[in-house]
Amino acid sequence: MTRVKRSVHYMLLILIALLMMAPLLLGIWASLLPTTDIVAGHFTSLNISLTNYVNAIKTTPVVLYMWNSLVMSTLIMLGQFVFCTLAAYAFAFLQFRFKNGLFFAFLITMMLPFEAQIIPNFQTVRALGWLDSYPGLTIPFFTSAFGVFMLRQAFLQVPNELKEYSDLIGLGRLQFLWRIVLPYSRSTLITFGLYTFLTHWNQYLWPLITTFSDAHRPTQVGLKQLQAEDTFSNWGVIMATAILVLLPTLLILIVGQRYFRKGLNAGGVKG
Amino acid sequence: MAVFTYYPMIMTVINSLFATNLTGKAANFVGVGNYVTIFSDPLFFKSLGNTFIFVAVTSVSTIALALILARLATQRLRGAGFFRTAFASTMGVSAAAASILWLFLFNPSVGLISILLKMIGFAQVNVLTNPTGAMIAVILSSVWMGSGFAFLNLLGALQSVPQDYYDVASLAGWSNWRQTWKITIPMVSPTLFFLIVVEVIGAFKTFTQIDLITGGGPDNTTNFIAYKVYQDAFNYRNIGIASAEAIVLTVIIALATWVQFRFTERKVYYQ
Repeated sequence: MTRVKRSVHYMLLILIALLMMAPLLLGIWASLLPTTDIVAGHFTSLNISLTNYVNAIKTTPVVLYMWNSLVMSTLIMLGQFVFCTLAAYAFAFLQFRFKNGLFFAFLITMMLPFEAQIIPNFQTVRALGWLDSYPGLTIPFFTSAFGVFMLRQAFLQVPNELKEYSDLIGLGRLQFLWRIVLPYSRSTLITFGLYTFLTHWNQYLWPLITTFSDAHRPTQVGLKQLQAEDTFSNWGVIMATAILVLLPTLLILIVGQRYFRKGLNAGGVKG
Repeated sequence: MAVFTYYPMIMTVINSLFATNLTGKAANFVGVGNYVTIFSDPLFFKSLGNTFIFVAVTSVSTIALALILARLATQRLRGAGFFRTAFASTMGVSAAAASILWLFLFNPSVGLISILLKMIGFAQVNVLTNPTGAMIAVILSSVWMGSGFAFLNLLGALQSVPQDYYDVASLAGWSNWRQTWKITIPMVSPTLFFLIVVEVIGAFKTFTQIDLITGGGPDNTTNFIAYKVYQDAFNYRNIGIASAEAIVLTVIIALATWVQFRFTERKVYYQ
């Protein structure tokens, strides 16, 4: 590339990156400004401070919401780890009747929209007395067809020799899974874990209908709650809470970027 | 899996065949009565039509934008890593947090978009109370939210296209546009196909942005089917109607996916 062409390219990249990041950058900027300046339209004001963050933490339950989200997402991640690993192990290594039929029955659920299951799920959880509780928020998500599929694909790549070797030295099934299969599939497991955590931290519809109190309300629905209350006119504080809520996932994404790309491509390439 | 996926799916079909009484229980068997009701309701057709417009515009724009971003970010330049992180960053922002960021931009008195519109001479500055404006707002924010995921997918795919192809094409004097059209798109067509399927399904299920940005308004313009299911089930407590709508949504998604596999996959080039 010539120098002119190169600098044009850089200008274009910078311009587009700024445009793409504008909503986020403006949000961060607004969260640092006093609301009086925002309302007056003084966006170039330099009265920046962390006051909005202090107020958000002191006057709103945002920290409690974040704790709820952390507990919820971690429980779901662990639950899926256990159940999806075991199911994927069965589909990858064991021989049993109707194996292909059952696997197909798993996969087909990936096509069914959650919206079409949400009403009976709500009724089930209500009947179990799990509304507005951690079990109600987490247990319905302990299995995932996507997770089983992703882990099965990874497990199938474990070389046969390792299986033969583990039989030879007399490892049981669970030991084989724990000591050989899981370490071998480490990068898929990390992708899967990050993905699950991110998805459920960001979940909205289910917590919206099953939580009623601040004690169990996770962050995403908490944002709606804060917006509905009179804090809404206080733009500085609402922006600060939004930034606080998106910060963990943004960090996970930036740190785990390369895992996501690898995992995504494994899904994108048919095989 | 059985309790929270298959059982609810079957229950939704059953519920859709019953009229609901005042306590929200499915009481009288009405056969296809609920389906007759929704298909003779002009509001349902309005919702359906607007959903199709939204899905078509959003999924095509998201993928086109992501392809442009990925083409820009795979050029051999210093600092490309920074731009990749910038373009991928929207994937780390949850739909709820993103909705708050966009709500701020669209706010009639303090939002930057409203201020810009006023500067170029638009009289009406509250975008969200105008039917066309609200639709554009929801599309814009959805494209922004979805672009990070599509970008990361395409980035991985683009990086596997050998640079030699572009070098030869440049020597032959092909424009950037022609290179994208003749080399990039065929080479990444499996990923593009995967993305189209995923984006269309995702767009049909759009919920969070609607709930937070427009609430389905104004005058039901942005009341897409997934949101209507929620409103009918949890605001109006009409489980029968909501279940029938959920089944219609499921069938539409299944049909759309089938059509894509039937007609688009033939054009996909697998190596």
